[in-house]
Amino acid sequence: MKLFERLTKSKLDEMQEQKLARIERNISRIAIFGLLALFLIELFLFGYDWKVIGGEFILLMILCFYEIIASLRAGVWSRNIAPTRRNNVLAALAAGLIVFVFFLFMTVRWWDLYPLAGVITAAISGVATFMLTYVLLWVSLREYERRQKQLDQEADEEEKPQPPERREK
Amino acid sequence: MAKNLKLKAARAERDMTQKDLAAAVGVSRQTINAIEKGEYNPTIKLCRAICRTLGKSLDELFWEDESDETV
Repeated sequence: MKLFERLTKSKLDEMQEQKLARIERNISRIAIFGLLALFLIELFLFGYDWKVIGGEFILLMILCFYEIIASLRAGVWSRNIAPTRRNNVLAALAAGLIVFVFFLFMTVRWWDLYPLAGVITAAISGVATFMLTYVLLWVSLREYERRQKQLDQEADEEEKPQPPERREK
Repeated sequence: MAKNLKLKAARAERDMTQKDLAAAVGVSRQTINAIEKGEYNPTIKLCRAICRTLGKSLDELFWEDESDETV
């Protein structure tokens, strides 16, 4: 146990810890967005070949789910975006639009024989993405509000005057 | 880290809830709660904002005995 403690004890001072925390945060951003970019590029180049894109997809999903669950548990929504229904609609619209545009490019790449089918596929994918994203954000927002209430209730319990300790006979 | 009972007492003196103090200094209620529970070390900037709001000095609210400090 002592050896474990010695190995894991930080040798940095508080300013260095903050700097390292910022570096680690940047690493996680690069990892998530890098994996997303890699996944989209491979999808565009190789199509739905899960032997090629499966690994990146799984890791990306693990990172995203961890971030979502850990943030909700901590009662944190986002650094820059307020947790409102309006923002959720805008985010879902953006996601749907990105998917629509991406599938249009896929049409050019893979379905040059059937352009109309490709455009219809892109439109359906965009609408489905909008709906799915909005539902997921709606569920997340409800969970966030529930967690905020729970944290407030815990704080209220702490603030209540404690009953005097009973003397043991 | 030990609980910050001085902060709690100073807040009660002014008849402020954690929510009121949080709104006054521009942080979330959870942050004030975490500071009072001794679970979070605020930055010096936040300490000064809390002191200004409660009309107390840094020493009066945030001085710790050496036995309570863990760096």
